[in-house]
Amino acid sequence: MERGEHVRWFAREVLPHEADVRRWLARRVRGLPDCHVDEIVQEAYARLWATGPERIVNPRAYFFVTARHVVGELLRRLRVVSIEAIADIESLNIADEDVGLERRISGREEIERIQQILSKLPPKCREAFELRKFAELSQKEIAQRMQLSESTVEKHLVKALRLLMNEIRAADAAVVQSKVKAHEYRHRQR
Amino acid sequence: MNTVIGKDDIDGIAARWVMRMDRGELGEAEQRDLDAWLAADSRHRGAFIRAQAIWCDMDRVAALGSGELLSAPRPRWSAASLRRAAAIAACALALTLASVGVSNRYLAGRESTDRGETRRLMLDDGSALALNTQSVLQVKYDDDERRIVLRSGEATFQVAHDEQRPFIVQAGDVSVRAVGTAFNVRMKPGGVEVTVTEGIVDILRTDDPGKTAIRRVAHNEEVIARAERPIEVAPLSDAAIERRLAWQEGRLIFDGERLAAAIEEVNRYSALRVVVDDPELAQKAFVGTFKIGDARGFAHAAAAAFEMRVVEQDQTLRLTQ
Repeated sequence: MERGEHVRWFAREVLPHEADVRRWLARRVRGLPDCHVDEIVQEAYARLWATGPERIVNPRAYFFVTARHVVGELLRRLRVVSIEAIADIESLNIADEDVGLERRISGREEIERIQQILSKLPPKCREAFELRKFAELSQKEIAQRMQLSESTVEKHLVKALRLLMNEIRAADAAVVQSKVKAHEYRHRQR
Repeated sequence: MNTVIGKDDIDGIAARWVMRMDRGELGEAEQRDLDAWLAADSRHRGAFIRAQAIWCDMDRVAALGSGELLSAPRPRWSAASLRRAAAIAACALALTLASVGVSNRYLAGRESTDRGETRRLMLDDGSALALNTQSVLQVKYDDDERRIVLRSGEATFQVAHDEQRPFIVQAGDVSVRAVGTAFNVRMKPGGVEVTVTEGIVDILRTDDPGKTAIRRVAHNEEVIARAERPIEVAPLSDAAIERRLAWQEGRLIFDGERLAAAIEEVNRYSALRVVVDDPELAQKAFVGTFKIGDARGFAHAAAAAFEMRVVEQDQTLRLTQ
Protein backbone atom coordinates (compact mmCIF):
# COMPACT_ATOMS: atom_id res chain seq x y z
CA MET A 1 0.00 0.00 0.00
CA GLU A 2 1.29 3.41 -0.92
CA ARG A 3 2.20 5.58 2.08
CA GLY A 4 -0.52 8.20 1.73
CA GLU A 5 -3.11 5.48 1.45
CA HIS A 6 -1.68 3.76 4.50
CA VAL A 7 -2.01 7.00 6.48
CA ARG A 8 -5.63 7.36 5.35
CA TRP A 9 -6.27 3.80 6.39
CA PHE A 10 -4.98 4.73 9.85
CA ALA A 11 -7.18 7.80 9.97
CA ARG A 12 -10.20 5.75 8.99
CA GLU A 13 -9.66 2.46 10.77
CA VAL A 14 -7.41 3.08 13.77
CA LEU A 15 -7.85 6.65 14.93
CA PRO A 16 -11.57 6.35 15.75
CA HIS A 17 -10.77 3.71 18.36
CA GLU A 18 -7.98 5.53 20.11
CA ALA A 19 -10.16 7.12 22.77
CA ASP A 20 -11.63 3.74 23.68
CA VAL A 21 -8.24 2.09 23.81
CA ARG A 22 -7.01 4.87 26.08
CA ARG A 23 -9.97 4.49 28.38
CA TRP A 24 -9.45 0.77 28.49
CA LEU A 25 -5.73 1.17 29.14
CA ALA A 26 -6.23 3.76 31.82
CA ARG A 27 -8.38 1.45 33.85
CA ARG A 28 -5.67 -1.21 33.70
CA VAL A 29 -2.44 0.63 34.19
CA ARG A 30 -3.55 3.15 36.75
CA GLY A 31 -1.13 3.09 39.64
CA LEU A 32 1.42 0.91 37.90
CA PRO A 33 4.84 2.52 37.81
CA ASP A 34 6.14 3.85 34.50
CA CYS A 35 3.15 2.85 32.49
CA HIS A 36 2.15 5.92 30.58
CA VAL A 37 -0.88 5.60 28.39
CA ASP A 38 0.63 8.01 25.87
CA GLU A 39 3.69 5.89 25.40
CA ILE A 40 1.73 2.69 25.15
CA VAL A 41 -0.47 4.24 22.49
CA GLN A 42 2.56 5.49 20.56
CA GLU A 43 4.12 2.07 20.71
CA ALA A 44 0.88 0.47 19.57
CA TYR A 45 0.68 2.86 16.62
CA ALA A 46 4.22 1.97 15.60
CA ARG A 47 3.39 -1.72 15.69
CA LEU A 48 0.14 -1.37 13.82
CA TRP A 49 2.00 0.60 11.18
CA ALA A 50 4.70 -2.05 10.91
CA THR A 51 2.13 -4.82 10.62
CA GLY A 52 0.39 -3.15 7.73
CA PRO A 53 -3.29 -2.98 6.85
CA GLU A 54 -3.26 -6.08 4.70
CA ARG A 55 -2.77 -8.24 7.74
CA ILE A 56 -5.20 -6.49 10.04
CA VAL A 57 -8.72 -7.73 9.54
CA ASN A 58 -10.31 -6.09 12.56
CA PRO A 59 -8.36 -2.92 13.33
CA ARG A 60 -10.25 -2.20 16.51
CA ALA A 61 -9.57 -5.60 18.05
CA TYR A 62 -6.00 -5.50 16.79
CA PHE A 63 -5.44 -2.14 18.39
CA PHE A 64 -6.71 -3.42 21.75
CA VAL A 65 -4.66 -6.59 21.61
CA THR A 66 -1.52 -4.73 20.59
CA ALA A 67 -1.95 -2.28 23.45
CA ARG A 68 -2.34 -5.20 25.81
CA HIS A 69 0.87 -6.78 24.53
CA VAL A 70 2.74 -3.54 25.00
CA VAL A 71 1.58 -3.29 28.60
CA GLY A 72 2.60 -6.89 29.24
CA GLU A 73 6.06 -6.30 27.83
CA LEU A 74 6.49 -3.07 29.76
CA LEU A 75 5.66 -4.82 32.98
CA ARG A 76 8.04 -7.65 32.29
CA ARG A 77 10.81 -5.24 31.43
CA LEU A 78 10.30 -3.21 34.55
CA ARG A 79 10.69 -6.28 36.77
CA VAL A 80 9.28 -4.32 39.60
CA VAL A 81 5.77 -5.50 39.40
CA SER A 82 4.59 -8.47 41.31
CA ILE A 83 3.90 -11.68 39.46
CA GLU A 84 0.24 -11.19 40.22
CA ALA A 85 0.12 -7.95 38.30
CA ILE A 86 1.67 -9.61 35.29
CA ALA A 87 -0.66 -12.55 35.53
CA ASP A 88 -3.48 -10.10 35.77
CA ILE A 89 -2.41 -8.35 32.60
CA GLU A 90 -1.83 -11.62 30.79
CA SER A 91 -5.26 -12.85 31.61
CA LEU A 92 -6.96 -9.62 30.69
CA ASN A 93 -9.91 -10.46 28.68
CA ILE A 94 -10.84 -7.89 26.23
CA ALA A 95 -14.50 -7.91 26.85
CA ASP A 96 -16.83 -7.87 23.91
CA GLU A 97 -18.07 -4.47 24.86
CA ASP A 98 -14.55 -3.13 24.49
CA VAL A 99 -13.84 -4.59 21.11
CA GLY A 100 -17.11 -5.16 19.42
CA LEU A 101 -19.17 -2.11 19.96
CA GLU A 102 -18.30 0.79 17.78
CA ARG A 103 -19.99 3.97 18.63
CA ARG A 104 -20.06 6.41 15.80
CA ILE A 105 -20.91 9.97 16.40
CA SER A 106 -22.98 11.71 13.81
CA GLY A 107 -21.53 14.19 11.39
CA ARG A 108 -23.12 17.09 13.17
CA GLU A 109 -21.75 16.08 16.56
CA GLU A 110 -18.35 15.73 15.05
CA ILE A 111 -18.49 19.17 13.47
CA GLU A 112 -19.50 20.60 16.81
CA ARG A 113 -16.66 18.83 18.53
CA ILE A 114 -14.10 20.10 16.05
CA GLN A 115 -15.55 23.59 16.19
CA GLN A 116 -15.18 23.54 19.92
CA ILE A 117 -11.58 22.42 19.67
CA LEU A 118 -10.75 25.04 17.06
CA SER A 119 -12.30 27.77 19.17
CA LYS A 120 -9.46 27.27 21.63
CA LEU A 121 -6.93 28.39 19.06
CA PRO A 122 -5.75 31.98 18.76
CA PRO A 123 -7.47 33.70 15.79
CA LYS A 124 -4.46 33.76 13.44
CA CYS A 125 -3.71 30.17 14.17
CA ARG A 126 -7.27 29.14 13.52
CA GLU A 127 -7.40 31.12 10.30
CA ALA A 128 -4.25 29.44 9.03
CA PHE A 129 -5.66 26.04 9.87
CA GLU A 130 -8.97 26.72 8.16
CA LEU A 131 -7.31 28.07 5.06
CA ARG A 132 -5.13 25.00 4.89
CA LYS A 133 -7.72 22.35 5.59
CA PHE A 134 -11.05 23.78 4.55
CA ALA A 135 -10.04 26.16 1.79
CA GLU A 136 -7.23 23.86 0.72
CA LEU A 137 -4.64 26.54 0.21
CA SER A 138 -0.99 25.58 0.41
CA GLN A 139 1.16 26.89 3.22
CA LYS A 140 2.79 29.22 0.74
CA GLU A 141 -0.54 30.63 -0.41
CA ILE A 142 -1.64 31.08 3.18
CA ALA A 143 1.54 33.01 3.91
CA GLN A 144 0.78 35.35 1.01
CA ARG A 145 -2.82 35.83 1.96
CA MET A 146 -2.17 36.41 5.64
CA GLN A 147 1.00 38.36 4.95
CA LEU A 148 3.07 36.18 7.20
CA SER A 149 6.29 34.33 6.64
CA GLU A 150 5.98 30.69 5.64
CA SER A 151 7.67 29.56 8.81
CA THR A 152 5.12 31.47 10.88
CA VAL A 153 2.31 29.76 9.01
CA GLU A 154 3.98 26.44 9.68
CA LYS A 155 4.21 27.28 13.38
CA HIS A 156 0.51 28.15 13.48
CA LEU A 157 -0.35 24.86 11.86
CA VAL A 158 1.89 22.92 14.22
CA LYS A 159 0.00 24.50 17.07
CA ALA A 160 -3.34 23.51 15.59
CA LEU A 161 -2.24 19.95 14.96
CA ARG A 162 -0.77 19.76 18.42
CA LEU A 163 -4.07 20.84 19.90
CA LEU A 164 -5.97 18.22 17.91
CA MET A 165 -3.54 15.55 19.06
CA ASN A 166 -4.05 16.60 22.66
CA GLU A 167 -7.81 16.71 22.35
CA ILE A 168 -8.04 13.14 21.16
CA ARG A 169 -5.91 12.23 24.10
CA ALA A 170 -8.17 14.18 26.41
CA ALA A 171 -11.15 12.21 25.18
CA ASP A 172 -10.38 9.90 28.07
CA ALA A 173 -11.32 12.78 30.31
CA ALA A 174 -11.84 10.72 33.42
CA VAL A 175 -8.27 9.59 33.31
CA VAL A 176 -5.65 11.43 35.23
CA GLN A 177 -2.54 11.00 33.17
CA SER A 178 0.49 13.07 33.89
CA LYS A 179 1.74 14.46 30.64
CA VAL A 180 5.18 13.31 29.75
CA LYS A 181 7.33 16.35 29.24
CA ALA A 182 10.52 16.54 27.30
CA HIS A 183 12.77 16.60 30.29
CA GLU A 184 11.14 13.67 31.94
CA TYR A 185 10.68 11.26 29.13
CA ARG A 186 12.85 8.44 30.00
CA HIS A 187 14.90 6.55 27.55
CA ARG A 188 13.73 3.07 27.56
CA GLN A 189 16.12 0.26 28.07
CA ARG A 190 16.07 -2.34 25.40
CA MET B 1 14.86 28.23 6.89
CA ASN B 2 14.74 26.74 10.30
CA THR B 3 15.48 23.04 9.96
CA VAL B 4 16.20 22.38 13.59
CA ILE B 5 13.45 20.33 15.07
CA GLY B 6 14.34 21.06 18.62
CA LYS B 7 13.52 20.32 22.20
CA ASP B 8 9.96 19.34 22.72
CA ASP B 9 7.94 16.32 23.69
CA ILE B 10 7.44 13.50 21.24
CA ASP B 11 4.04 14.69 20.04
CA GLY B 12 5.35 18.21 19.52
CA ILE B 13 8.26 17.01 17.44
CA ALA B 14 6.00 14.70 15.45
CA ALA B 15 3.57 17.56 14.77
CA ARG B 16 6.41 19.74 13.54
CA TRP B 17 7.67 17.10 11.15
CA VAL B 18 4.22 16.52 9.76
CA MET B 19 3.74 20.23 9.16
CA ARG B 20 7.18 20.56 7.64
CA MET B 21 6.25 17.82 5.19
CA ASP B 22 2.93 19.51 4.54
CA ARG B 23 4.84 22.61 3.47
CA GLY B 24 6.77 20.81 0.77
CA GLU B 25 9.39 18.23 -0.02
CA LEU B 26 11.95 17.78 2.70
CA GLY B 27 15.51 18.74 1.92
CA GLU B 28 18.15 16.05 2.01
CA ALA B 29 19.41 17.08 5.43
CA GLU B 30 15.88 17.32 6.79
CA GLN B 31 15.02 13.89 5.48
CA ARG B 32 18.11 12.51 7.21
CA ASP B 33 17.14 14.18 10.46
CA LEU B 34 13.64 12.81 10.24
CA ASP B 35 14.84 9.31 9.44
CA ALA B 36 17.23 9.40 12.37
CA TRP B 37 14.54 10.60 14.70
CA LEU B 38 12.14 7.90 13.54
CA ALA B 39 14.79 5.21 13.81
CA ALA B 40 15.70 6.22 17.36
CA ASP B 41 12.56 5.01 19.07
CA SER B 42 9.41 3.17 18.12
CA ARG B 43 7.43 5.71 20.11
CA HIS B 44 8.66 8.37 17.71
CA ARG B 45 7.35 6.34 14.80
CA GLY B 46 4.05 5.83 16.60
CA ALA B 47 3.65 9.52 17.40
CA PHE B 48 4.56 10.45 13.84
CA ILE B 49 2.02 8.16 12.21
CA ARG B 50 -0.59 9.25 14.73
CA ALA B 51 0.06 12.92 13.91
CA GLN B 52 -0.21 12.19 10.20
CA ALA B 53 -3.42 10.26 10.68
CA ILE B 54 -4.97 13.07 12.72
CA TRP B 55 -3.95 15.63 10.12
CA CYS B 56 -5.36 13.48 7.35
CA ASP B 57 -8.56 12.91 9.30
CA MET B 58 -9.22 16.64 9.21
CA ASP B 59 -9.79 16.29 5.47
CA ARG B 60 -12.73 14.05 6.23
CA VAL B 61 -14.04 16.48 8.83
CA ALA B 62 -13.60 19.32 6.35
CA ALA B 63 -15.63 17.42 3.80
CA LEU B 64 -18.48 16.82 6.18
CA GLY B 65 -18.44 20.40 7.36
CA SER B 66 -18.52 21.61 3.76
CA GLY B 67 -18.05 25.21 4.76
CA GLU B 68 -19.92 25.17 8.03
CA LEU B 69 -16.72 25.09 9.98
CA LEU B 70 -15.36 28.27 8.58
CA SER B 71 -15.44 30.92 11.24
CA ALA B 72 -15.01 33.82 8.83
CA PRO B 73 -17.81 35.06 6.54
CA ARG B 74 -18.19 32.72 3.62
CA PRO B 75 -17.85 35.05 0.62
CA ARG B 76 -14.21 35.46 1.48
CA TRP B 77 -13.59 31.93 0.33
CA SER B 78 -15.32 32.05 -3.00
CA ALA B 79 -12.04 31.76 -4.85
CA ALA B 80 -11.17 28.99 -2.51
CA SER B 81 -14.31 27.05 -3.22
CA LEU B 82 -13.47 27.16 -6.89
CA ARG B 83 -10.15 25.76 -5.96
CA ARG B 84 -11.96 23.15 -3.99
CA ALA B 85 -13.97 22.09 -6.98
CA ALA B 86 -10.80 21.91 -8.98
CA ALA B 87 -9.27 19.88 -6.19
CA ILE B 88 -12.11 17.40 -6.34
CA ALA B 89 -11.64 16.96 -10.06
CA ALA B 90 -7.92 16.59 -9.67
CA CYS B 91 -8.50 14.16 -6.89
CA ALA B 92 -10.64 11.92 -9.05
CA LEU B 93 -7.93 11.89 -11.66
CA ALA B 94 -5.00 11.29 -9.42
CA LEU B 95 -5.82 9.74 -6.11
CA THR B 96 -2.23 8.72 -5.74
CA LEU B 97 -1.19 12.32 -5.39
CA ALA B 98 -2.75 11.85 -1.98
CA SER B 99 -2.24 13.78 1.22
CA VAL B 100 -3.55 17.03 -0.25
CA GLY B 101 -6.96 17.33 -1.82
CA VAL B 102 -8.30 13.93 -0.84
CA SER B 103 -10.85 15.35 1.55
CA ASN B 104 -13.85 14.49 -0.53
CA ARG B 105 -13.13 10.84 -0.60
CA TYR B 106 -13.74 10.78 3.12
CA LEU B 107 -17.19 11.91 3.80
CA ALA B 108 -18.97 11.98 7.08
CA GLY B 109 -19.86 8.64 8.58
CA ARG B 110 -18.35 6.68 5.75
CA GLU B 111 -17.94 2.98 6.41
CA SER B 112 -16.42 0.45 4.12
CA THR B 113 -15.31 -3.16 4.00
CA ASP B 114 -12.64 -4.90 2.02
CA ARG B 115 -13.05 -8.12 0.11
CA GLY B 116 -13.95 -10.92 2.50
CA GLU B 117 -14.60 -8.56 5.38
CA THR B 118 -17.92 -8.11 7.13
CA ARG B 119 -18.57 -5.60 9.84
CA ARG B 120 -21.26 -4.80 12.34
CA LEU B 121 -21.90 -1.27 13.45
CA MET B 122 -24.10 0.19 16.11
CA LEU B 123 -25.56 3.55 15.31
CA ASP B 124 -26.39 6.30 17.77
CA ASP B 125 -30.11 5.67 17.73
CA GLY B 126 -29.75 1.99 18.59
CA SER B 127 -30.11 0.79 15.04
CA ALA B 128 -27.58 -1.78 13.94
CA LEU B 129 -26.17 -2.61 10.60
CA ALA B 130 -23.99 -5.29 9.12
CA LEU B 131 -21.87 -4.47 6.13
CA ASN B 132 -21.01 -7.29 3.77
CA THR B 133 -17.89 -7.74 1.66
CA GLN B 134 -16.60 -4.88 -0.52
CA SER B 135 -19.27 -2.44 0.50
CA VAL B 136 -19.32 1.27 1.11
CA LEU B 137 -21.99 3.25 2.87
CA GLN B 138 -22.38 6.57 4.50
CA VAL B 139 -24.37 7.40 7.60
CA LYS B 140 -26.13 10.75 7.44
CA TYR B 141 -28.25 11.31 10.51
CA ASP B 142 -29.95 14.54 11.30
CA ASP B 143 -32.96 15.77 13.26
CA ASP B 144 -35.52 14.93 10.60
CA GLU B 145 -34.34 11.67 9.18
CA ARG B 146 -31.82 8.91 9.50
CA ARG B 147 -30.37 8.48 6.06
CA ILE B 148 -27.94 5.82 4.94
CA VAL B 149 -26.44 6.01 1.49
CA LEU B 150 -25.32 2.62 0.25
CA ARG B 151 -22.68 3.39 -2.35
CA SER B 152 -21.88 -0.18 -3.26
CA GLY B 153 -22.19 -3.71 -2.01
CA GLU B 154 -24.64 -5.03 0.55
CA ALA B 155 -25.84 -4.28 4.05
CA THR B 156 -28.49 -5.46 6.49
CA PHE B 157 -30.28 -3.01 8.72
CA GLN B 158 -31.99 -3.55 12.05
CA VAL B 159 -33.86 -0.34 12.55
CA ALA B 160 -34.68 1.13 15.96
CA HIS B 161 -38.21 2.45 16.11
CA ASP B 162 -38.51 6.21 15.83
CA GLU B 163 -41.55 7.65 14.12
CA GLN B 164 -40.19 11.16 14.24
CA ARG B 165 -37.14 10.27 12.22
CA PRO B 166 -37.74 7.81 9.41
CA PHE B 167 -34.90 5.53 8.47
CA ILE B 168 -34.06 5.73 4.78
CA VAL B 169 -31.59 3.67 2.84
CA GLN B 170 -30.66 5.09 -0.50
CA ALA B 171 -29.13 2.69 -3.00
CA GLY B 172 -28.59 4.11 -6.44
CA ASP B 173 -31.94 5.36 -7.65
CA VAL B 174 -33.90 3.43 -5.06
CA SER B 175 -34.90 4.53 -1.57
CA VAL B 176 -36.03 2.12 1.11
CA ARG B 177 -37.92 3.74 3.93
CA ALA B 178 -38.64 2.08 7.25
CA VAL B 179 -39.80 3.05 10.68
CA GLY B 180 -38.88 0.03 12.76
CA THR B 181 -37.98 -3.08 10.84
CA ALA B 182 -35.17 -5.20 9.45
CA PHE B 183 -34.09 -5.56 5.87
CA ASN B 184 -31.18 -6.24 3.56
CA VAL B 185 -30.16 -4.15 0.58
CA ARG B 186 -27.78 -5.38 -2.06
CA MET B 187 -26.56 -3.45 -5.06
CA LYS B 188 -26.09 -5.83 -7.94
CA PRO B 189 -24.89 -4.99 -11.41
CA GLY B 190 -28.43 -5.45 -12.73
CA GLY B 191 -30.25 -3.48 -10.03
CA VAL B 192 -31.00 -3.14 -6.35
CA GLU B 193 -32.30 -6.12 -4.40
CA VAL B 194 -34.21 -5.55 -1.17
CA THR B 195 -35.09 -8.38 1.20
CA VAL B 196 -37.43 -7.66 4.10
CA THR B 197 -36.91 -9.88 7.12
CA GLU B 198 -39.14 -8.07 9.58
CA GLY B 199 -41.89 -5.46 9.37
CA ILE B 200 -42.71 -3.34 6.36
CA VAL B 201 -40.75 -0.95 4.20
CA ASP B 202 -41.69 1.47 1.45
CA ILE B 203 -39.65 1.53 -1.70
CA LEU B 204 -39.52 4.38 -4.11
CA ARG B 205 -37.40 5.80 -6.84
CA THR B 206 -35.36 8.82 -5.95
CA ASP B 207 -36.26 10.39 -9.29
CA ASP B 208 -39.95 10.13 -8.42
CA PRO B 209 -40.62 13.11 -6.17
CA GLY B 210 -44.37 12.71 -6.54
CA LYS B 211 -44.01 9.26 -5.00
CA THR B 212 -46.39 7.84 -7.57
CA ALA B 213 -44.68 4.50 -7.80
CA ILE B 214 -44.24 3.81 -4.10
CA ARG B 215 -44.26 0.11 -3.30
CA ARG B 216 -45.02 -1.29 0.11
CA VAL B 217 -43.08 -4.46 0.82
CA ALA B 218 -43.57 -6.82 3.74
CA HIS B 219 -41.77 -9.69 5.39
CA ASN B 220 -41.11 -12.61 3.06
CA GLU B 221 -41.12 -10.47 -0.01
CA GLU B 222 -38.25 -9.40 -2.13
CA VAL B 223 -37.87 -6.50 -4.42
CA ILE B 224 -35.78 -6.16 -7.47
CA ALA B 225 -35.45 -2.67 -8.79
CA ARG B 226 -33.78 -2.63 -12.16
CA ALA B 227 -32.89 0.60 -13.84
CA GLU B 228 -35.57 1.87 -16.21
CA ARG B 229 -37.99 -0.89 -15.23
CA PRO B 230 -40.88 -0.95 -12.79
CA ILE B 231 -40.09 -2.22 -9.30
CA GLU B 232 -40.82 -5.94 -9.08
CA VAL B 233 -42.02 -7.65 -5.94
CA ALA B 234 -41.87 -11.42 -5.51
CA PRO B 235 -42.60 -13.77 -2.61
CA LEU B 236 -39.62 -15.19 -0.79
CA SER B 237 -39.54 -18.21 1.54
CA ASP B 238 -37.99 -18.16 5.01
CA ALA B 239 -35.38 -20.63 3.82
CA ALA B 240 -34.45 -18.37 0.95
CA ILE B 241 -34.14 -15.41 3.29
CA GLU B 242 -31.94 -17.42 5.61
CA ARG B 243 -29.72 -18.40 2.71
CA ARG B 244 -29.50 -14.86 1.55
CA LEU B 245 -28.45 -13.54 4.94
CA ALA B 246 -26.13 -16.40 5.88
CA TRP B 247 -23.16 -14.14 5.25
CA GLN B 248 -23.80 -12.57 8.60
CA GLU B 249 -22.86 -15.86 10.21
CA GLY B 250 -19.88 -16.17 7.92
CA ARG B 251 -21.49 -18.81 5.74
CA LEU B 252 -22.64 -19.16 2.18
CA ILE B 253 -25.53 -21.49 1.48
CA PHE B 254 -26.38 -22.74 -1.99
CA ASP B 255 -29.50 -24.69 -2.69
CA GLY B 256 -29.84 -25.43 -6.35
CA GLU B 257 -28.22 -22.27 -7.69
CA ARG B 258 -26.30 -22.57 -10.92
CA LEU B 259 -22.63 -23.25 -10.39
CA ALA B 260 -21.74 -20.02 -12.17
CA ALA B 261 -23.90 -18.01 -9.76
CA ALA B 262 -22.43 -19.84 -6.77
CA ILE B 263 -18.92 -19.10 -8.00
CA GLU B 264 -19.76 -15.47 -8.43
CA GLU B 265 -20.97 -15.40 -4.84
CA VAL B 266 -17.86 -17.16 -3.51
CA ASN B 267 -15.60 -14.79 -5.42
CA ARG B 268 -17.17 -11.77 -3.77
CA TYR B 269 -15.37 -12.69 -0.59
CA SER B 270 -12.07 -14.04 -1.79
CA ALA B 271 -8.92 -12.73 -3.38
CA LEU B 272 -8.42 -16.23 -4.72
CA ARG B 273 -10.85 -16.51 -7.62
CA VAL B 274 -12.71 -19.60 -8.72
CA VAL B 275 -13.12 -19.93 -12.48
CA VAL B 276 -15.06 -22.41 -14.59
CA ASP B 277 -14.65 -22.30 -18.36
CA ASP B 278 -17.00 -25.05 -19.47
CA PRO B 279 -20.39 -23.36 -20.07
CA GLU B 280 -22.25 -26.64 -19.60
CA LEU B 281 -20.72 -27.15 -16.16
CA ALA B 282 -21.45 -23.57 -15.26
CA GLN B 283 -25.17 -24.27 -15.65
CA LYS B 284 -25.26 -27.25 -13.27
CA ALA B 285 -27.32 -26.88 -10.12
CA PHE B 286 -25.28 -26.76 -6.98
CA VAL B 287 -25.99 -27.48 -3.31
CA GLY B 288 -23.75 -26.86 -0.32
CA THR B 289 -22.74 -24.75 2.67
CA PHE B 290 -19.37 -23.03 2.83
CA LYS B 291 -17.39 -20.81 5.06
CA ILE B 292 -17.06 -17.32 3.65
CA GLY B 293 -13.64 -16.68 2.21
CA ASP B 294 -12.86 -20.37 1.74
CA ALA B 295 -12.67 -20.37 -2.05
CA ARG B 296 -10.34 -23.34 -2.04
CA GLY B 297 -12.74 -25.46 0.01
CA PHE B 298 -15.53 -24.50 -2.33
CA ALA B 299 -13.52 -25.29 -5.46
CA HIS B 300 -12.57 -28.74 -4.22
CA ALA B 301 -16.12 -29.53 -3.15
CA ALA B 302 -17.45 -28.46 -6.54
CA ALA B 303 -14.76 -30.46 -8.28
CA ALA B 304 -15.69 -33.54 -6.27
CA ALA B 305 -19.39 -33.06 -7.03
CA PHE B 306 -18.94 -32.77 -10.78
CA GLU B 307 -15.89 -34.96 -11.24
CA MET B 308 -13.56 -32.16 -12.11
CA ARG B 309 -10.06 -31.14 -11.13
CA VAL B 310 -8.87 -27.94 -9.52
CA VAL B 311 -5.88 -26.30 -11.13
CA GLU B 312 -4.46 -23.61 -8.90
CA GLN B 313 -2.35 -20.98 -10.55
CA ASP B 314 -1.53 -17.43 -9.51
CA GLN B 315 -4.68 -16.24 -7.82
CA THR B 316 -7.13 -18.50 -9.62
CA LEU B 317 -8.67 -21.89 -8.92
CA ARG B 318 -9.69 -23.26 -12.29
CA LEU B 319 -12.26 -26.05 -12.44
CA THR B 320 -11.51 -28.32 -15.39
CA GLN B 321 -12.43 -31.77 -16.59
